[in-house]
Amino acid sequence: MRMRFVAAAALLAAACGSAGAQDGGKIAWKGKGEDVKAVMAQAKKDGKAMMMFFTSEG
Amino acid sequence: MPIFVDCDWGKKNNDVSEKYAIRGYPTVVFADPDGKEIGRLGKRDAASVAAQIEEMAKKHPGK
Repeated sequence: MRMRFVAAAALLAAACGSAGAQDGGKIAWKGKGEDVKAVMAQAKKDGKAMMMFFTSEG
Repeated sequence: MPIFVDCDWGKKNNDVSEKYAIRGYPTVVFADPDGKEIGRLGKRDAASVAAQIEEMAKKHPGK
């Protein structure tokens, strides 16, 4: 009984640990406070595809 | 390359938003290095977003 409890607690702790590691990640957005056209020109120069997030913070 | 385009309700970056015919916020547009639109974000669940980003990155890995 005690061993089952310890095993269950260990399994739960491991699951919580892996869940905690998933912070959703961070995206280093370009364009914030920068000239968007200049950033797009840099992407073209680097041969990189762009993912443009159009929003309104105003 | 992830680019944040703040349109400030039509007060900023009008030329860029008009180029891609942005009609509402938020809108995510994928474009090739030349700026040609190659897709828009479809499903918004994490797995679908990640898959779409990976697909775009494979097509245009950069220099």
